[in-house]
Order: sequence, then structure tokens, then C-alpha cells
Amino acid sequence: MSDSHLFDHVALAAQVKRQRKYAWDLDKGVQWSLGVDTTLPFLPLDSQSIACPGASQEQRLALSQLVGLIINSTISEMESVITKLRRVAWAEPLREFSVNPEMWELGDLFFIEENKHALAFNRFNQLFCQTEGIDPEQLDRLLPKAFGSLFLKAVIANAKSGGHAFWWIVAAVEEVSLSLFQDIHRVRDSIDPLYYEVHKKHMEEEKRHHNYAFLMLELIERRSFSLKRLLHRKTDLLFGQLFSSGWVLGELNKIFLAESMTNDHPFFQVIASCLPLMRQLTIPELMSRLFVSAPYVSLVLNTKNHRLTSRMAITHRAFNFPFPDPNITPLAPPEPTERPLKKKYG
Amino acid sequence: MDSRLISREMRGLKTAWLENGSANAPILLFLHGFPDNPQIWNFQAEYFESRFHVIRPYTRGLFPFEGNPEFNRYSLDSLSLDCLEILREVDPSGQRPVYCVGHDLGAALAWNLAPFLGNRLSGMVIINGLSVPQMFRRFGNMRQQLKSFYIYLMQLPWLPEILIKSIPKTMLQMAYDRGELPQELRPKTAVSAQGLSRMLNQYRAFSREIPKLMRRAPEKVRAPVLVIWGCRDAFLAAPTLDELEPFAASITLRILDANHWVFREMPDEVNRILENFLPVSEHSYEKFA
Repeated sequence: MSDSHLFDHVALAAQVKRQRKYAWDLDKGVQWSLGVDTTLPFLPLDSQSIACPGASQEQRLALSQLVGLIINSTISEMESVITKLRRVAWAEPLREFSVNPEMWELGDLFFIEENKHALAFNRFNQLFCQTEGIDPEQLDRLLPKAFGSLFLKAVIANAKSGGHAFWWIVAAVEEVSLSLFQDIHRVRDSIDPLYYEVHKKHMEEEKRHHNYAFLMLELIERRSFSLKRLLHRKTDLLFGQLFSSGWVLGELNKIFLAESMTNDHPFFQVIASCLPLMRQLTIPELMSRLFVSAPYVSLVLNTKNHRLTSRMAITHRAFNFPFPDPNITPLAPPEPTERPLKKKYG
Repeated sequence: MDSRLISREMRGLKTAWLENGSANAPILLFLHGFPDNPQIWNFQAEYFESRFHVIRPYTRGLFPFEGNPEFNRYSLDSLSLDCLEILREVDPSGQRPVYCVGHDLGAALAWNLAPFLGNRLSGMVIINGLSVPQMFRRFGNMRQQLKSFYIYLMQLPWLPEILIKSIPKTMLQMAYDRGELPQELRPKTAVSAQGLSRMLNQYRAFSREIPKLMRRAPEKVRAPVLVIWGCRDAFLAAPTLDELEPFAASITLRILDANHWVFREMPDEVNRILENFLPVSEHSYEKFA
């Protein structure tokens, strides 16, 4: 017998019970009344400020907040995409392959939780806008959006043709979320308490359900008998990597739009002031940072950071993009006494 | 466990079954497959005998003293009539609810028997087995065809009988070996060469029924159906919900990491699953009480 839980209905039932018992409520589970403290960073930055060497304290604060909002939006978009693909990438394969009722139940819970997480991250971003007096639509121009993107269309097309690139992407997102929280947790006293709490709540449920994507991948692997499925098994990871990396890079590029928004809000003005620092880098330098050393971004882009996904890729004998070895720059925790020059933008 | 061997003359042939438990309890009918005998259900009979009237018929052709059955006695309808006769014998009033559990060819029989039992059937459990129409629908499935190539060999006249009669133990061993059933889990009393060769007729009779069954509109079993499947089955690919739903109104599929004889390999697990399933469908007992 294998060590997998895929057909261990007792273990799966225990997981269902655990997930139901500890599920949190979107309104009551998070202390939204804390509000967003915009004088504090959302994330620790590396000594190079991701891609902006030599950034000032004010710029570092704004960058930390923008990267925090981008991460929220990325997770939120990815998790919204997950719920949109429920039928084609989940219900249909489960009907086609044979599984225990607990796999259905766990899937239901997985989608409910992912949807809740997407709403929680969106709510945080909106609270930030309210606190700062930023028009949410303007901020959205800088943040990643998946709907209508080539990425989403490609993933849907892949799922409709019987592929499972979607589950590779979900598995990677789940892993990234857990790694990300470790970084946030280390500096929890120095960052915005609500930002920390939203991610803590997110991590709690991710930790309980992150195996679901791997169970789906295992199920698909075990049931891939036809030539078409075998082809998907080989290529879907690569397909997912190319389209998700392309999407992330394209969406990150949006931050250059801040230059056209400098008159709309001082936050955009500070962000725009960082862009010349970014332009100091040559394209190869920038790409190397994004894929190799930049915290958060390289965590998403470089699948060599995804230990479990990489291990599963070996089991599936799936083609994996030869990313360079990651070497993420150590994060510098914000000084507890560090405060921005201006208490609030504007 | 004390099993009672009962045999009666029914429809012109000796029909035999093993019986356990109280004659007043709901009936739990276990139908075995090829190349097994009723002992294959020992773990389940022992577990359920305190709460059920456990009946384990010998499939047609297997019981040594049954006489000389004609070929048409191996057809699904004829085997179903044999089961109905047994049920009439053990419950003359016909009031007690029946739960039917079928494995392998016994599962094909259970699907066929269900409409004959009507409301009396309170629940049906299928373990690594298919109905004949299901099997027919898999004709285009190359993987299934490769797994069940032996069914085609069994359609040949004489040759399978010659093989079985010359090397019965080897043939039996081959079947269990291919199904990965460990030696210690095989029935203690092996099926005789005569029994084995007669049981081959079931494969032949079932195949000949395909045209008739395909003409018949599939009748959905109204009782709750539980399908337990060992996913490492060497003979049959696991069914999907899409495949099963035309045959039953309420269906639960449970997959275990086990071989074709999941109820022998994981008896405790299967008994627990059966126990959870049976009381749910026991509500229908009220209408007979």
C-alpha cells in the first residue's frame, strides 16, 4: 500500500472535521476594527529594497506597502481564479476519476476557504485605500488582475482539454503563501498588525488544506492512462510555469503606471520616485533579481523555491522549467523605532 | 463462527448456501464471484452474524452435489431466481428487509437481482464488480479490455475446461496471484476443478445476455447503493460516478487502496464501511415491521 492519503478516507474525514472546526468567519474572524496603520510597513524588505537599490526610508515604507498590496492582490486574484475554475478543473475530473466522498467534501471546503481568502485580502486593500484616501480603482491600476488575462484564458483552455496546469499553479500558490507567512511572522511586531492578522488567518487555513492540490495532482497522475493525459502529465507543469511567470512579470510592470498618477495621490508620487532607481538596473540585472534574489517575487516566479511542487514534478516525471538556483537576499526587519518622515501621505 | 450449510432442491437442482445469525434479523445476502466460494465472505459473516441473518449462496455450478445444470441455469435471470428461492426459503413471509452485497460476478448478479427484490431491497453493496451493461459500455475502453482479456479466452469452447481440469490448482493460483490476493487470505477450501469449469459458464452466459440487456431500458435501483472499490484491481478499472448514475438513484462510491479482493485485504475497514452504510438504509425496515 502507498503512504498517500488519497484513498485513506479516515484521514480525509479527519481533515474535513478539522477544517470545519477551525474555519474562521470573514467578518468576525479578523479584527477589522484594528484598521490599517499606514505608518508601518506591511512586509520586511531586503537591503536592496527588492529592485530599488538606495531607496530612502520613505520610499522603503511605500515600497513595502505596495509590495504587500501586490501580494494581497496576487493571492486574491489567484484564489478567485481557483473558484472560477471549480467546475472544469475540479468537479469534472472528480466525476471522471473515482474518489471517496471526502475528496468532494474537502474540495468544497477548499473552494469556500479560497473564496473567503480572496475576499479578506481585497477587504484589506480597500481598507488601506479608505485610510489613505486613495481611490481603490486607481490603486487597482497598479495591482495584478487575472480576469480577462491571457494567463486565465490559457489555464481554462488547458483544463478544458483535460489538462491540470491549474493544480500545479494552485500547489505553487499554496506553497508560496506558507513561505511568505514565515517571513511576515519573523517581523510581526514591526509591521501593520492587521496585515499580519489577515495573513495569519490565511496561513492557518492554508496549512490545513494546502495538501488538497497535491491530492488532486496525485489523483490525476494515478489516472493518466491515455496518451493525451500522459502528454498533459508531462507538459502541464511547464505550461503553468510559463503562463503564470508571464502573467506575474506583466502585472509587475504595471507599477510603472504610477508615474502617470503622481498628481492623484502622494503614495503614487513616492512610488513613482522609486522607479528611476529601478531603471538603473539593466534588463539582465533586473531579471536576475526577479528570478533569483528578490524576496517575494522570486518566491513566486522561481519554482525551485517550491519544494513540494518540485518533488511532485519528479514523481510525475513532468517537464520543469530550468530556473536558476534561487539565492534570496536576506530580509532586513524594520527597526522597531523606524517611522516614516511623514506620518501620513499628504 | 458456526456456519450452517443448508441445501434444498430448488427448481430441479440442489441449491446450497451457508447461513449465520438469527433467522429473525434482516437478511444480509453475500454473493461471491469467480473463482471464489462462500467462505470468501468469512470475515464479514463473522462480523455481522450478531445483527443480521447472513446468507451466502454457492453460485450455480459450484456446489458438488447440485446435479447437472443446463447452460441456461447460468444466466443472470436464472441465478436471480435461485437467489429469490433461497430468500423464500429463509424468509417465507417475505417481510424482512434484504441487504445484498455482491463481489465480482456476484456484483453482476446483485445488479440483476435488485429489480426482482423491489422495495424489499433496503440497500445494495457492490464490491469490485460491474453490471453486465456496464461491462458492455466499457468495450471501447482499451485499458479495461486489456485487464479483462481472460473473459474472451473463457468464451472459447472446451479449451478453458481442458486447462482447468488438467491443472486446476495452477489455474486457481494464477487467478489469485494476478489479483494479488495473499496466500493466507485465500479461501481455505479451494474450488474443485469441476466447480471452476462449471463457473466458466457464467462468463459465457452473461456475455450472451448482452444483446437482451442492452435492449432493456436500464432500471434504476431505488435502494441506496454503496460501491466499494479496491483501486489496485488487476481485472477491473474503477467506475466513475458518471458511469454508475444511470443504474442507481442514490449512490456512494468509496475507494480503498486495495486489490480486487478488498474485503479480504482490508476486512476491518470494509466492515466499518458496511456498518456505517447498513443502518442508514435500515430505515426502510420500518415499512416491513
